[in-house]
Amino acid sequence: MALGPGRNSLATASNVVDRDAVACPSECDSLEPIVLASQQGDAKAQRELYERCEQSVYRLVVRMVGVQAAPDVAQDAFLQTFRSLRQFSGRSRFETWLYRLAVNECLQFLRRARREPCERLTREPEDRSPDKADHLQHRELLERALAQLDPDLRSVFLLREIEGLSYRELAEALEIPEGTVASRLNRARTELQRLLRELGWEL
Amino acid sequence: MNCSAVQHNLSAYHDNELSPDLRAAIEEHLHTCHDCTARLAAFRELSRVAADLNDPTAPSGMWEELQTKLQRQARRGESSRSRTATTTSMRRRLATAAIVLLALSAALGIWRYQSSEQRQMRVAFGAFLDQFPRDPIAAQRTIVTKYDGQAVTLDEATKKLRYRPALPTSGDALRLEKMYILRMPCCTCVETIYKNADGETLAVFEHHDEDPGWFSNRPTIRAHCSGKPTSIVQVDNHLAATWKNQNRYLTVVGARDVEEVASLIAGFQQPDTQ
Repeated sequence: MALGPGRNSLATASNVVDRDAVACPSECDSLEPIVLASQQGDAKAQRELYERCEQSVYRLVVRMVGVQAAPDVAQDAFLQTFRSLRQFSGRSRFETWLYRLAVNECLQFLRRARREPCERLTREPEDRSPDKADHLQHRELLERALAQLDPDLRSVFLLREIEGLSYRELAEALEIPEGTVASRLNRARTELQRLLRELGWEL
Repeated sequence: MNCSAVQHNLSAYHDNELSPDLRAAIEEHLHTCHDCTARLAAFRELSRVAADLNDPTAPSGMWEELQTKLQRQARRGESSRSRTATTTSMRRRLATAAIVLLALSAALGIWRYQSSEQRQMRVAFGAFLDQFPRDPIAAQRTIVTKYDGQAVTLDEATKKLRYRPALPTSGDALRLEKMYILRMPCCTCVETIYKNADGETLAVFEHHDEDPGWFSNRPTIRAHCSGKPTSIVQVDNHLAATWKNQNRYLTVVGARDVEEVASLIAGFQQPDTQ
């Protein structure tokens, strides 16, 4: 289930459509009472909140840390969320706050993984044979390019393209100035184009 | 507006995040500039494909596991709060103090009993770790006798444990020989004996706690094997390793090297999480 103006609206969103206008206001608004009840310790509300957010967080985490580590990292992100739920002030959207915790958890995991002594074992199985590129669909090539993209660029791209966050929300979720969001997205898209070219897709 | 300025703002233009004036200026440039138009087309294509990416499904059981962890944490918080309350009360009333002291003595007794049991288990499991690579049959006999080991079928184990023990999901590199349920001080766990392709014996334990204390204070390497955080100890020229598999933990004893550990970890993962 989507958290907010994410996948469902993406299908229709382009640069000529106002994404905020096509977002799903009823779904997004309805998170607020669940968050409030969860903050007061309502177990049923907490479960509902988890279920509403699980899929969005998981798909972000999978692409940030890989499918092998994703369940553990996603769970750590939720643990952190529920532990600090009372600290959520409501000044930003809950989803933005949650994405911030999830991205931080992913970046911490990636930093730890780089320091591990057995790093050669951590890589996800990958077939880089060039003759395969022709047979792969564009979305498979994009998944591969994303896996090779710098994590800071990957997170901004995923939160924009898959989760549909606005630039203001991206700035809050990633704790960067709004101006940096635009330049980081430019870099992410340009770098993805370069990686895709290397994989055989002339974008 | 020149190409450099347009390209600086191209993502924001594509994402509809520009003021109308700036937007109009860029559109004017795009009418005449092939290079910038091509870049914008590439951004649009990226967005189109990104919207079409598969939506990976979160594994089941995550909420239950999360809830267990949160409850455990809440209990720890409560017990620490109640300890604080007891201290205040002791200052006020001597009678309460006596009761609290009695309770504390009882708790200490239980703690001592438990810790002595845990110590014994560490020693017994340590002996098992040392003996298993050299003489798996003798090591197995000792641990089964000590911990009331019951040979079971997969179905029997599933019924008794109320979960289906993890089995390798890929390849035919491991042959299942026997399965036991062991009642150990740390937990009731299932132990499965396998033969690998070279005919060597491996024992795989499935348990709830991340660290039942089995590796005692042996030097432990924390590594990522097949993408899973793994604790590895060396026993003579073999390895024992623990990692998380679904909602529980698996510990293998008798692995030849890290490659075998990594291949076991990958082999036990559900196909949809690989």
